[in-house]
Amino acid sequence: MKHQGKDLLILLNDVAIANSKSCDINMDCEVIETSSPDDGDTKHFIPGRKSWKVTTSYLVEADGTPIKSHLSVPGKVFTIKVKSRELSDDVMTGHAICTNCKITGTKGNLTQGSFTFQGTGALK
Amino acid sequence: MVIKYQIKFVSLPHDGNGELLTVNIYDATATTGTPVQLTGSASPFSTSGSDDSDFYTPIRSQSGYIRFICKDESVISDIMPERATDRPVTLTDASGAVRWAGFLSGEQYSQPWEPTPYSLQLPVKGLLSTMAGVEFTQADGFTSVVSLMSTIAQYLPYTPRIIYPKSMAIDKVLVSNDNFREFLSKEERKDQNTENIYSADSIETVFEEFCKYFGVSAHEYHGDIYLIAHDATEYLCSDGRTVAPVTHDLLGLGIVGASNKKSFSKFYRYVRGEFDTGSDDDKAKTVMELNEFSEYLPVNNQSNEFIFYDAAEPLTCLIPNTGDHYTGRIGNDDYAFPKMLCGIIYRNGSASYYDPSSVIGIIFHGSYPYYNESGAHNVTGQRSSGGADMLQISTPLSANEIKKVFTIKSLQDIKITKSERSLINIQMSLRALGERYSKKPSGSSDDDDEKYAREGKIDNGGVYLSIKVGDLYLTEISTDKYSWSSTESYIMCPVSNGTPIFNYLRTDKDVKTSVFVEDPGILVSLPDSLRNKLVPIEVGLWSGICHPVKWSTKDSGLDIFGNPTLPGVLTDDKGNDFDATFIHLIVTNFKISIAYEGGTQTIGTDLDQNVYIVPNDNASTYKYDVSSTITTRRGIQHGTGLALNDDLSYCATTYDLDGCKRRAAMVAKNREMLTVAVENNTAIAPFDTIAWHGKIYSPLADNIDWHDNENELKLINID
Repeated sequence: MKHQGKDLLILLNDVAIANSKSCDINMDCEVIETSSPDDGDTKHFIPGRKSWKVTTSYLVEADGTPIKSHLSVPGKVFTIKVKSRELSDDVMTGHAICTNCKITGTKGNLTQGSFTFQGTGALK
Repeated sequence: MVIKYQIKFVSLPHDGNGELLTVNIYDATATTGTPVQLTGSASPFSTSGSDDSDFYTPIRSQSGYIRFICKDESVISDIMPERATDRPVTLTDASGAVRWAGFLSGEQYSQPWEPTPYSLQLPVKGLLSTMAGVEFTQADGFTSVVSLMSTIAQYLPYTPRIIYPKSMAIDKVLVSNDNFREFLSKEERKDQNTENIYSADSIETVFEEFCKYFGVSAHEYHGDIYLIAHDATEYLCSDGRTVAPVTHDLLGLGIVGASNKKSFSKFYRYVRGEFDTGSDDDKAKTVMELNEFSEYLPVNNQSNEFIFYDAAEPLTCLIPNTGDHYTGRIGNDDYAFPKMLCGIIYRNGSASYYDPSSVIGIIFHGSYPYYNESGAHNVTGQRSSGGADMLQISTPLSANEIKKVFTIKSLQDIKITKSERSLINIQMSLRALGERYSKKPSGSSDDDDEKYAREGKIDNGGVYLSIKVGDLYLTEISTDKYSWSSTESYIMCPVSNGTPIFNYLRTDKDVKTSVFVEDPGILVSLPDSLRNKLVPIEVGLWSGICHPVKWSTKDSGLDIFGNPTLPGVLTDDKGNDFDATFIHLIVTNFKISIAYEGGTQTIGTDLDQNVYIVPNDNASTYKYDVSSTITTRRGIQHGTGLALNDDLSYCATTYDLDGCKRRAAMVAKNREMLTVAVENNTAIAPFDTIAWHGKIYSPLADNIDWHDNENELKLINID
C-alpha cells in the first residue's frame, strides 16, 4: 500500500495544523569541494552540514483563529513532529523557527495560508 | 628529513589527462615516518611572485598557500613549524621533478573553527624569502654563490640549481673581487661596539647584496634559482647545462640581440649612490660622479669584449634635487635644474621623441623626466615595458663648456697582442637634444610658464666621444672638421651613422638629433705601437658647447660657430644671470669591443649585408692575403684592420716601421676571391687617411695630453 499524502502529519507543539492541505519536509546537506588525485576534470566533494525545512499550507477558517493570530506566528519556536498517520513509530522530532506566514485571499476561492519552518538542530 | 604530509591532486586536465601533482610537506627534524595523505581543497596549492613591479628587484621572492580539508584539529599543531626551515614544501610532478619549493610558514593563518571538515589555508614561502630567517654563518665571508646555494640546500630535500648569465663568470669574478668579498667578510661584519660579535646577516641579505653587486635579479623557478640579467643571451646552469633564454625568459623580455649583450646600459642599471668600499674607515662612499663608478666596476676582458660587472640598484638620480646642485627656476621667480649629471636608466619602448604641445617641457616616450611645475627636472624614472635599455643624462652647461658625461675605463689592462691587428669598435645609439630655458619676466601670467620655459634655444652644442688606449687618444676625424690638424692635442669626435660629423644642435625648436647609431658605430684602428702592450682602454662621452676656434665646420654652409659665445647663463629682465642650458642624452646599446684578426663573429655584422666588417671567424684567409700582398716601401707591415667600402671593396690600414700610416685598397666580390691592390704605395706620409664606408678618416694621433688644452677647452670636472 502506498503512503497517502493525507497520512503525512506535521505537528506543532503536538498539535496538528487545522485544515491542512499539504506539507513539505526538506532535508539538505551541504558539500565541500575537494581536489582529487584521481582526476581533475570533475569536481569532488565531501559532505558538510545538514539543514532541514518544513512548509505547510492550510485553509483559513472564517470563524476560527483571527488572521492576525496567523501572522503573529513567524518568529516563534516550535517543537515539530513529522509523523506518519499509519506508522506509529515513524516519528521525527525537532525544533524549528517559523520564518514565514503567508495568507492568500482570492475571489471565488477559500482563503489559504502557509507556514515555513526553518529547522534548528537535528530532526531525529 | 621525511615527508610528513602529502596532498595529491590533478592539475591542468588538458587533453583529457590531468597531471598528478603532489605537495610534499617535509619534517626536517624527523628521520622516519610515513606520509599522511591529506585531502586537498578545491584549490590545493597556489603561488605568486612578489608584487614588486620592478623587474630588476634583486630578489624576486615567491609565496603561496596550501589548502587542505581539515578533519582533525591535531593536524594543525602537528604541521606547523617551530623554525623557519622545519617544514620544507615541494610541489612535484609524477616524475618527482620539483615544480616549486619553499617552506611552510609559521606566520599567521586563518582557521574557520567550523564543526565540520573545512578547508584550511596555510601560507608557504619560497626559498629566498625563507632565507631571510636563516643566518648567514659562513664565518670567512662569502666564498661563492655556489657555496651559498649549498648552504640553502642543507634545508631542502634536494639540491637546487643556480642558473646564471654566461657573461657573469660567476666563480672567476668572485675570487678576484675583493670589494664584494670584503663587504661580506668576517671583519666587515664585526660589530664595532661588541668585538667578536658579528652582525647576523641573513642568507637572503647576503644573496640580495650579491645580486645588487652583479646586477642580476634572482628568481625562483621550478625549485631552482635563476639569476636573470635581462640583456644576457645565454645562461649556464650549475649542473653544467647551457640554458637558452628562449625557454627561460622569465621576465618576458624576449630574446635580445647580441648588440645589446653586455650593454652599457647594464653598467648603470644597478648603480646606486652609495658603495661600501671596504677599503677605508668610512666604509661607505657616496658616489657623485658617473666616472667614479669605475672604481667599483670590475671589467673583465672576456671573449674579446668588455664586460661590465655592475652593482646595486636602479639608478634614479645621482645627485639629490636639492641644495647646491641646483640652479635655476624654482617657482615663478627662480629656475631649478639639476646642475650635476643625472642619469636614469630604464627600459623604454623606443626612446622616441615627441613634444606634445599640451605639456610643458619635453617628454620622451616612456618616462622621460619632464619639466614639471616646480621647474625642476623630475629625474626619478620608471621603466616601461619592452624595448631597449637606455641611459638618460642631462648636462647643464654654461658658455663654451664641455662636460664629461661619463667615462668607462677598463679596470683590467687589455693586452693588444701581436695577432690582434685590432680595431676598437664602439657602438651605441645616442640621441641628443638641447634645451634652453629663459626666465619668465615679472608680471607674466602663469599661462606663460611653458612659453618661457622653452623660449631659450640651443644655438650649438654637441656630443663628443673620446677614446683613450694607454696614453693615446684615438679617434676618427672627419674631413668636415677642417680646423683639425695633426698638431692639435685634443681629440673629440662626434660620429653619425659611421661618419664623423660635428653634431650640433640647431636653433629651431626641434632641437634634437641622433648620433652614434648602434650599428656599425665607429671603428678606430689601434696603432701597431701598442702591440704586445697591456694598456687600459677608456672611452668617454662628452657633451657641451664647442669652442669656437677649436671646432668649426663647413657643413651645409652653416657656420655653427659664427656666434661662438653661447651664453649658458641667461639673463632675466633685471639683468640677473642664471644657468639654464641643457643637453640631454639618451644612450642605448652601448658596446665596446676590440676587433681581432680571427676574432669573434659578433664583432662584425653580415658581410653580405654590406654594412661593416672587421676581421672575424674566417678572416684569416683573406687576412693572409692582405698581409702578404700589401707592400710598402719598407716591406710587409701589419694591417690594422679591414673595412668594407660601399662598393664592396675593402681597405686596410698599415703602418710602416716609423709608425706612418699606409692605406691599401682591396676589391673583393666575396671573401674567397679577395684580391688586393695596393694604393698609395709611394706616397708615404704620416697621418694618411683610412677609408671606411666610403668616407675618409684621418688616423690616430699619438702622445696627446688631454689636459694640455685645459685653458682653451675648459673641461669641466663635475664635483
